[in-house]
Amino acid sequence: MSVIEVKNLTKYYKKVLGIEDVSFSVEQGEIFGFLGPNGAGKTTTIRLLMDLLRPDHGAISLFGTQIKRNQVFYKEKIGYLPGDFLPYGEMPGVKFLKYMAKYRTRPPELRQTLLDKLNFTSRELSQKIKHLSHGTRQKLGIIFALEHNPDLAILDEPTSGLDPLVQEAFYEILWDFQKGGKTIFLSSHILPEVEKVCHRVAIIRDGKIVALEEIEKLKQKRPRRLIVTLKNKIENPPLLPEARLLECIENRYSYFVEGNISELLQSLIKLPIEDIVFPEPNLEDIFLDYYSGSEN
Amino acid sequence: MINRNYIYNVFREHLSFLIFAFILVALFQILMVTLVVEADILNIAQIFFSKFPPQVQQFLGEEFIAQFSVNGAVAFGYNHLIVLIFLTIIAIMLPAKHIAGEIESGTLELICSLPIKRLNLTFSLWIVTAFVLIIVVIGGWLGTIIGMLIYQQISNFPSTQLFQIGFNLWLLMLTINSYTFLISSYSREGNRVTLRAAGITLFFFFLNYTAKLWIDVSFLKHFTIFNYYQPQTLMLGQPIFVKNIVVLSLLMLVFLIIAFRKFNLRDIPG
Repeated sequence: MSVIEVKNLTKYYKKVLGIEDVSFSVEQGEIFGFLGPNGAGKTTTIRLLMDLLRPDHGAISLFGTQIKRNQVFYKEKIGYLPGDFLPYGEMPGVKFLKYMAKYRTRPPELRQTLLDKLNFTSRELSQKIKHLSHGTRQKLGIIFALEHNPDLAILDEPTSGLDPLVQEAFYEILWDFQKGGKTIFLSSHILPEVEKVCHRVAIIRDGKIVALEEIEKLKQKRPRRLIVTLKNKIENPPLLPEARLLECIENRYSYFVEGNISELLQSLIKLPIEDIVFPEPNLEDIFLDYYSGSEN
Repeated sequence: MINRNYIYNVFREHLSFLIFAFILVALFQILMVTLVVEADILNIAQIFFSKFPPQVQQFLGEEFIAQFSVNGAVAFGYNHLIVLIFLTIIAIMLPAKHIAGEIESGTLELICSLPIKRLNLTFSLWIVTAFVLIIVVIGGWLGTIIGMLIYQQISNFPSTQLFQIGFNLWLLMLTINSYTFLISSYSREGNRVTLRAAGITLFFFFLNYTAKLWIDVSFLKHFTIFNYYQPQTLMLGQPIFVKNIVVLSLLMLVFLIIAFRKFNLRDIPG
């Protein structure tokens, strides 16, 4: 069953494009990544899903029901973490959680587990939120979004400001959620994060979805990187067929391989090569390819 | 239709200011009664009044002298700048802070992601504002009663007029509150809303005085909300109460309906 189904969603801010003709669906039990740089339209899409923004065109279905303006019944099943998590600064963390929990009918059954997993101390919890560090505030946001054990978690750049240890703990929480049949929609511009936790990913650029694939398939489809180290530095970087030069540091040249590899290898033989490496494709490469696509 | 959790939170946030305003307005009304009873201000005022040129005496009229009686002082107390400013602060502050201000700070985005309808939010906020404003008005009533009890003037207690003045003042403030709601529902910056609403209120206030002082533009008085709140005239028993209530209620309703509708349709943040 599709937990999220978005069809031809379009949003303009007056005349400025937010997103255009965005369509995708997210299945139950899936961790879905929404990847794009700042300003690509990730937050706009998420706010449309949450009925915070009003679409100019298109439809959103959540849990199999088309969402109409100002319907709130489905929000009970959702945990939402905004990109800029800015809670009431004057409230202590514990008061904030208690206050927000009163708006929901679902009890905060996972609060203690999340506090423990994210290593949230009772001292931090009793401090006024404005005195907490960015990372600690973000942890509070994660607890706020997930404590009522939602069926769908919509998280806008959730690991922003978290240290690597807490990030790992957060990924564990996500996997536990997913194992319990819950669905996670996660936006990020951190590629290894999406690569690590998501099953599928949509890449958004300039308000439009440019790719929607399973992570593994995406890796296979997209160009691979080639790093060639020559014995000596040469004046002009060697131009290789079926490859696009990415960068050149001293006698080391990085390429995107875009086509037939045998033709490329034949050209390489002619060069004074010291070393050749074909690194494993990662989303960083895919990302770069998508974002440099328009320039080429 | 209302959300008790939200109401409680907003009310608790402004409780200390509410207590301060309540005590201040009550004390101010006691002071008004004290001044008239203790200082024989009526006699002083009549001597002072007789020195004015005839045109000025005509302009000030009987309202001026009437307010130096105990009842007149009470009415004057409800039209004094201190009372009006404190109530206006409450009327403007709540929607400016909790709608535009919270859009600006990002907290409204969190609240709106929870299972609560926007209409419930705005209506709950209006309920808190109306409640807080009536509490301060009750503070004024209480001050008047205490003042009259202290100075044994309670046998002349103008209960009907006092109720009318208080109710009229409450509606005036709710009207100011309603156009602040309206401005807020179009904005995303609390400070800007406060400035605009305060500017409009000041404009209405000075328009009222200009229309009163300058006979050629007296027709303008119909276009200021302060024309529909005249405590001294109400205290004299003139039948303006119903007209005032109808005009202010209609204005308030129109502003609120547009504001609630706009807030329902708007982007957060927008």
